[in-house]
Amino acid sequence: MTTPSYAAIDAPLQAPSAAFDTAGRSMSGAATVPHPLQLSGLHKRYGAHEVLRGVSLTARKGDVLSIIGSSGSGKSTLLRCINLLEHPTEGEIRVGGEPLRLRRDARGDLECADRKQLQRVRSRLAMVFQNFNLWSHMTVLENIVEAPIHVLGMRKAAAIKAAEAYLQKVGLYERRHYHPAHLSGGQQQRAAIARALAVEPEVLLFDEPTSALDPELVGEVLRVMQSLAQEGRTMIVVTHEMGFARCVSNHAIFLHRGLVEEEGDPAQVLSEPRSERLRQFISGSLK
Amino acid sequence: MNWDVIAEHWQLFARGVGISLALTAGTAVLGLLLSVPLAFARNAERRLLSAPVAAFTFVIRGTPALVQLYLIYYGLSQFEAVRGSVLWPWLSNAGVCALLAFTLNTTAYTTEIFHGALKSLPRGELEAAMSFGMSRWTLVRRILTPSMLRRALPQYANEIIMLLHMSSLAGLVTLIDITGAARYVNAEFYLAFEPFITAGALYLVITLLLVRLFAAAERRWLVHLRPRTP
Amino acid sequence: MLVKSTALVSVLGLEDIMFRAKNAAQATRQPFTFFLLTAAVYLLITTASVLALRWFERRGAHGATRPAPMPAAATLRDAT
Repeated sequence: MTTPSYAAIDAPLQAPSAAFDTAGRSMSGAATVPHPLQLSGLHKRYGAHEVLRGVSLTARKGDVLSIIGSSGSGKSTLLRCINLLEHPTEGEIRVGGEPLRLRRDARGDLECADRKQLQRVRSRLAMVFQNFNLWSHMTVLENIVEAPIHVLGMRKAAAIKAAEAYLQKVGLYERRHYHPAHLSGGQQQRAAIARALAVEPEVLLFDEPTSALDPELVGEVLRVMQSLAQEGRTMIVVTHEMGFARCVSNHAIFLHRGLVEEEGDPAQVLSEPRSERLRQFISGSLK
Repeated sequence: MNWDVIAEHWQLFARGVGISLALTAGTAVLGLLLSVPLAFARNAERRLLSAPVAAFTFVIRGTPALVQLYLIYYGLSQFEAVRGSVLWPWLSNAGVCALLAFTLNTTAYTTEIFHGALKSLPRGELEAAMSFGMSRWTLVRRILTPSMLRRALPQYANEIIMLLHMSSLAGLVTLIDITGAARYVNAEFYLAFEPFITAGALYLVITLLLVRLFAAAERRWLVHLRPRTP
Repeated sequence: MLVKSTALVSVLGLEDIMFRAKNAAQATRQPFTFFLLTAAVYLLITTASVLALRWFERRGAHGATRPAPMPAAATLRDAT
């Protein structure tokens, strides 16, 4: 079992500036350029069980946020609330400064009130799933050009050209005519990443991207994610990979039972955790 | 064995093949067009949409096709309202009645087949499509329907073959399809073995051709479900 | 899971029943009524056999695990 190496990275990309409080919210008045993503006071309840109990976070341009925590801490639910795959019970979601218009649904949760807005906002985000979720009846290339053509309205030739560049970037150009079922897990996930990149999103969302992979395949995916981070893309990554959180992300958020227990510079938070629970969590994890 | 009679009436059987094929093809096309939207309705969350479709498929699949055919061909003429309506020239026509009855029947079976395939689609693929901001219509058109049709292909192939065999009932309501031709020879010449063996052979040949056709379709469209060769 | 009833039907003597129904229909000039009755009888038989099969399946499957049902969350409505 090889540990992915981050030898090229010595220091995190951007040290969080003092102008932000511990919750990551900007303390200076209204920002001149809106942040790519802002979540305020997110709650999520399933019947009597509260999964999220008031989580806020802000992603500035170029941030690589890693969200860590044990199962049941609510980290996947948090990520899935961003693009409304889950309906939060309370809270506000702002993408590029634009708040999502929500209303109460039959179950008491918040659902989309403006379908067109949701589709537009979703097209500015892109998600990479734990189980890849590539469209099985299409080839890799077709998967990648699908959203650019049918959601963004790109011309087919232009979309294919762009897709081929992304395929080169993730190292799947030779397999572009394969179907997902005929690729390894690592290849499928890299294809999924290329698919997410193809829509040129403002924020990339990663939901435990390596959790479903065999250990030998984890490295190739993390390397791709690392190169994306180096390019300055805004990424939010829910992960179990402590190495990635420590070396690649510039802000780590530890979620416990639906609340942000601790957050900050990964180098500090992960080597000198202040909270007891985080200490237990780190010592219990593999890296 | 008197095969000369069959040979003399080859045109009758040939025309019968034409009618059987036309009836099967027409029914298949209509059934397909109806079944796709009905499958989505059957799968809908709202009971108002899914319950009527479920009731429809349950009743049609729970009763013999022959009864359905007789209900339409013989049964409708019972009503004064039907006999006097503008549709009567159509509804008194055996071919139209057969087409109608068979279409209802195959629609019910095909809707259930498609519904099963739709239910089996990986939920994650649906979520991925939503997460990219696809509209509902694009999602149905580009992701759900192609995947559903492909997954349903093997069972659908079976249904089309059953449809061909069901179409033989048309011979019981005056149509001279393959079975109708065999019944004619049987009635006119008091031969039983020769005409019905001929009919059987004709159905068999058509069935084999359909099997070949669908095997080719599966090779082309189910590439993505084949196991990975190491 | 309704099995196509052709085999079952021949066992139940469909042709015989249909022959009688057709005669009765022609005699009374009420084909719709009689064929509808026939259909209803078959539907009853089919329903009864489906329910019976399900009951047997449930009894026979004691202890057999079934795959966990998919959580109902992602439906077309969530595409809004």
